[in-house]
Amino acid sequence: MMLIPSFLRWDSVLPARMLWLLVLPILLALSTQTFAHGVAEDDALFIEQASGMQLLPFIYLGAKHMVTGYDHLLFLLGVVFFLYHMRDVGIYVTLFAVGHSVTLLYGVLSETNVNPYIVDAIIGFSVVYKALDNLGAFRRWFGIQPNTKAAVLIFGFFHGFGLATKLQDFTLSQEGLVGNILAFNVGVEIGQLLALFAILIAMNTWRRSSLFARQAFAANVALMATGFLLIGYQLTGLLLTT
Amino acid sequence: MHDITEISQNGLPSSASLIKATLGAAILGTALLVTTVLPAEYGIDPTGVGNSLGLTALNGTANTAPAAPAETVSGAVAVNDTNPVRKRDQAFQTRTFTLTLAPGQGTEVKAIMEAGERFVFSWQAEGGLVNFDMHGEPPNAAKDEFTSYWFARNQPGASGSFTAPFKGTHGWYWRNRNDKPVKVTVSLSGFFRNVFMP
Repeated sequence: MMLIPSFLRWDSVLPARMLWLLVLPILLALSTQTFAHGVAEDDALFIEQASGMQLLPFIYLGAKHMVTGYDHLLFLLGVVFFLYHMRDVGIYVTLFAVGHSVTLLYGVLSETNVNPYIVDAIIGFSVVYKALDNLGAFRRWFGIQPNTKAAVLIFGFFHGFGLATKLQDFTLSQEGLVGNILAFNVGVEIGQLLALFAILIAMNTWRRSSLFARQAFAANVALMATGFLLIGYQLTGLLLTT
Repeated sequence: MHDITEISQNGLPSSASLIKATLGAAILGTALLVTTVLPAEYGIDPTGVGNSLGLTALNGTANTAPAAPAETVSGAVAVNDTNPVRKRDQAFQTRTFTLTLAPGQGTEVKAIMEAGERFVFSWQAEGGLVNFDMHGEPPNAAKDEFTSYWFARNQPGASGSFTAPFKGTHGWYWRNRNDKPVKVTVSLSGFFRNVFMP
């Protein structure tokens, strides 16, 4: 009862059930792509050969990339895990979106070359960080609470570089580049919203359970474990290529 | 604060529980990494679990080739080149080798190539499955200095096309881990200086 603010109760989020019907089939269809992080081969061919502005394909690619970008989604899950007010969700997700949009656009258009393994390892670290933050570890261990909004924005910058490096591998057509990248960014935000809806619906259902408090601790430990796994995976890739 | 204290009856978790949680997460993450992800993505299998789960067979098909230039990733059209034809003045050659690998034996076939040269290939193993590592090294490389392009275990054969990312010797190492001899027949056609068995 006290755990769930009244305006977030299941009954007050009437359209939520309908959102499930919309979101679930899309996510299921794309779930096979989740394991191919990066850009799928056919999409890669498209990007290489595309010339001129092709806004809708790039919007679609951006959305697809975000929905299958499990490292971005894991961070997003960590961010909204204990956000009960939609207003807070809006603020934090916007901060994340601003962060990754800035560096996605900057990274691709300026052709800044950052090592993708290092960036992806930092993204993995962002997941670990957020999980620890959710558990109150910084307050317990160090007596400090780093500004959560600043953290989301700053990690957002790194997520954006991660998104940019995936595109930088390809020779993007110079003609229409700005339009295509903006379209890709719009797609990323659309994909983020879709994933966010699914995450929030799941979280709202879960929070109603009386076991949530205990499971929440374990869930953040699991989140942390995947963050460590991501760091290790990316660092291995880094070691193999130097 | 938007964290676990919002729902926990006991406020902040204890330091001990947080340390246990972090260590547990690190161990779990590393265990999964080393037993499933590294074998599947890179063919690195220090515990052997990946092999017994059959995950190492995945390696080589995932988009993970380190140091692979953009050319080989897209495969279809060369970077900055809109012409589907790549003209070559050098001779077009076809070579076929048949090697017999005794139990436990490993053998190499290598093509001497300039950077950018390419060939198509196909090889089959008769009498058993083999492990193979398609790799290359620059001229006068040190003993362990090589770049692995495609490593997989227990394969009956493989085919594809290969473009030399740098000047040097590029080809295959096959290993017969069965208890009887295996015959490997490899055929390659395309552009290279020469093919030999080191």
